[in-house]
Amino acid sequence: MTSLYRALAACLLALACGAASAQQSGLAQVMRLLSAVQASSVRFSETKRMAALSEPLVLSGRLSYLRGGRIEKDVEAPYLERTVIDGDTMLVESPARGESRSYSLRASPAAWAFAEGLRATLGGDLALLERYYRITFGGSVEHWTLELAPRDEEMARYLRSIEFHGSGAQITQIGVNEAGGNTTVMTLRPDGP
Amino acid sequence: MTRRALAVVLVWLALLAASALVASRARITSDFTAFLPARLDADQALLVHQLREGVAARMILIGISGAAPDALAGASRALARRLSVSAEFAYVNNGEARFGAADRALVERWRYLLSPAVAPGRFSAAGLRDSLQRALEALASPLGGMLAGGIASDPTGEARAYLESLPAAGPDTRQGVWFSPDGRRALLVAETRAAASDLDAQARAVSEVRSAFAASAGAHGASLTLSGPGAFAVESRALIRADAQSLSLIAGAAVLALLLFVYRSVALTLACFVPIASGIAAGIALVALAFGSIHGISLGFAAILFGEAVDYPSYLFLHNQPGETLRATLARIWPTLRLAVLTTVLGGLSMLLSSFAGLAQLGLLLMSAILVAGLVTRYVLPEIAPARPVAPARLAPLLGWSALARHPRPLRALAWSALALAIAAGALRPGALWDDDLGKLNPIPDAERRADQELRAELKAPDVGAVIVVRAPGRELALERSEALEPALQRLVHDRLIAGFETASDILPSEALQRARRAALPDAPALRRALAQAAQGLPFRPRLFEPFLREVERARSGPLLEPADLRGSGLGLKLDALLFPLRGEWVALIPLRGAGDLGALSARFQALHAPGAMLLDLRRETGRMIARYRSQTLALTGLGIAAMFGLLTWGLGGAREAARVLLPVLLAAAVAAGMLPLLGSPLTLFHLVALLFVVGTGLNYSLFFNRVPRDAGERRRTLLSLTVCCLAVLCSAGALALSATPVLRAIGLTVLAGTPLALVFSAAFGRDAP
Repeated sequence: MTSLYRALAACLLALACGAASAQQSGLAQVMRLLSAVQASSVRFSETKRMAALSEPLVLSGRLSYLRGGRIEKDVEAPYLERTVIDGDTMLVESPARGESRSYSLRASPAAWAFAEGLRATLGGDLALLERYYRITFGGSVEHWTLELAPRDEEMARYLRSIEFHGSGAQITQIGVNEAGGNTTVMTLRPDGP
Repeated sequence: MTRRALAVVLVWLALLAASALVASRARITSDFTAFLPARLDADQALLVHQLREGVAARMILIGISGAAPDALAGASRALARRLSVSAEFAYVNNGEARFGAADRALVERWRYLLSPAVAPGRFSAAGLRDSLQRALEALASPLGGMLAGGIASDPTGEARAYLESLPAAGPDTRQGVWFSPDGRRALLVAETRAAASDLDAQARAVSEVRSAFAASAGAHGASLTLSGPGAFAVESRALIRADAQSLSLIAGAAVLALLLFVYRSVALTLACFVPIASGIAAGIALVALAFGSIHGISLGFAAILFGEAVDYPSYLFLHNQPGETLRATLARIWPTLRLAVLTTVLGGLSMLLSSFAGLAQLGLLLMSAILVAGLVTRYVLPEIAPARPVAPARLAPLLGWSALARHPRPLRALAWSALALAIAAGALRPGALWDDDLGKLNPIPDAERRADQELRAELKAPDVGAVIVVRAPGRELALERSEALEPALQRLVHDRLIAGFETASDILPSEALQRARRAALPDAPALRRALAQAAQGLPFRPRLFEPFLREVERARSGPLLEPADLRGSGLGLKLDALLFPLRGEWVALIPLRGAGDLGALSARFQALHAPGAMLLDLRRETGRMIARYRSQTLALTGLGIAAMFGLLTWGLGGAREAARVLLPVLLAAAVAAGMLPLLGSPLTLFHLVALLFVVGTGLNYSLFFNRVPRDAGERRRTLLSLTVCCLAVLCSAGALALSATPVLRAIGLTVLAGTPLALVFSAAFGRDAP
């Protein structure tokens, strides 16, 4: 049903909006597709290049999303770590050490904007996304890119941009460029056997 | 007018002018700690120091509510910015930065001496390996760049470990500023530079907060809530001042109307005010001279004196018969009037002897005002007032009550049974009899007190109530004793007896602890070796940790942290509030947060047997202190009554006579005292004062009722004069009973209940019952 719906929606939207606002409509379409996702769970592989490190750090594990804004990132290698962003707290657990720490995301405007940016994109909430970021949309519904640049100066001190790549309702890659030059590229692929 | 009379009038005018001058310049205070005793032992000194100067007392708690969260956060930031540049405030915080830039720099600089995590093993190869692994994970976590800044110089995270070890991260933070848990109120705290007892400075600080808020946030439609001891004191001063002024006016107007009705003569009515106006001017001047200032409460009390002291001229004018000069009338009634004045003065004297400064003020005011009013009635009034006898017939309706006294037997029986009832009431509910909470003296409405408690809980600010006091001969020992208490305090937190605590040694560890931490730092070669071993297999850039190696070496070979290093920072300010010299020894305070069950807490604390440490429950201690002064006052009142008895025995020529006069009055006072707790207002010190006043006025009635009249006309005049006097007292006490200030209301109600009883009982027990 979804593919039929998607096709129909694409046609209707293309007809309604016309070619002049193709980019607008593409963004709206993608957001609408994303907003229909109830839950997802994918495997990730993340490469971090950081000034403090002599070689890239590669993490892998599972990323889960539940509609309503709960995001869980389970690092499985090279160490175990579970991070849950839910509401206004971020919980970081280290099963190996049996420790967990909880951070208030609202305590820092930058942390809050970062979490809201993730949630708004995964949940397809365009209005929320626009409150925190300037948005550049590129490509087509089949192969889209979404680049977010923080509006808030405080946040811009830490974060240059976040880039999402995707296809339809599927996000395939998330890139984070920090202001200090550190970069993270997280590649997502659907759960295989 | 004879030359002697002229001289008397001139002396009176000169004294009146002088006292009016002094009185008009008297400074009015409303600091309730001014009502605390002047002579203090060491514990009490500390208590008063805390109440007046303590950091909790200097804190103004601020809430902004009534707008969208964005607007509230904006208003909070704007207000904090404005206040932080104000000279009135030493420290302002809205959560944007829990510690200012200066504090962060200090923590960075001294982290190896401050951090509780610095201990042997922390910087071994194994310890460092653990730290580096954690640092790597932090770096790789979402927001890692933000959370793990400074990894090169502080890979073990000592600065963060220290900041996180400090108590109570404070309220919830939203959009970077403090908010109440429900998100409806943005929260700030501002600490004034001035002590809480410096009311003028507190008033400036409060108005600065208000104007800064109006300038920055008025447009958003948000509203401001202020609380805290200083803000309350400022408000209560305003309330008491307004109260004292308006009540004096109301009391004065009511008495004026009554006298105009009775005398139908402007000249006589005005003359009635001459003695009391002279008396109050002299009284205020004397209090101002003796105490340096006059308390608003004393001033309010002056209002009730209006009622009593117009008595004296009224006795004179109403006893004046057709064709008689005032001097001739005085010759008749002076012996009785003199006793009436002197007994009241004795009542004031017993209050003056109290070591409770507030009572001594009231006593001096009462004594001097009554004495001067009596003297002016005796020596000045006959020279300046006209003799205009009043026809009692016109005022007959006023005397209707005296029908009651035609049945003295049942009335006496009633008086005795009322007494028995009052005693029974007191015996059955002894707990409800006395209330020694100093806070209840405050006129602050309950709603605002509740608002204060809410704000305090939301801000997680320390209670004004509970604090542990650690004393030692020297600063270092005070810090060490405070450090030694920490494990026990942690257990109290764990057992939920308290929610948290702060100590001076968190900010300035004792030298011994600092040395121990320094000793845990390895020397440069050893640290470099351990680090190389720890970093093996981890992807950190080579030579990344050079800043770390330098800074550990600097801490290892550098000086210890001294109070002077903290000067000018928020931490330094906090330290000054928590650690200070007092009377030749050092005091380290440990304010407790969320101490619910003080009884259980106190028991656990006693069991620690911590040297030099005691748990100070400010509320209970002030209550205890007040209770001590209450018993002292009770004893003094007893003495005062004994003295009155002696005076009456001398004046009336026999103990029997004296007892006959005193008995109905004491009965009336006892019944009034028994009635008040039944009416739901437990007795305070100030009720005692009011009862003393009831005894003073009641004795006037009783004295005149026991005087043998020459004829029926004089009897009628006596009855009329006493009725008018009682009505005048009721007018002024009624005004006081309307007061918003609990103390003044208490006095008003007591007098309102006691005085008519005294009149009726005097009539019933008097030798010359009508």
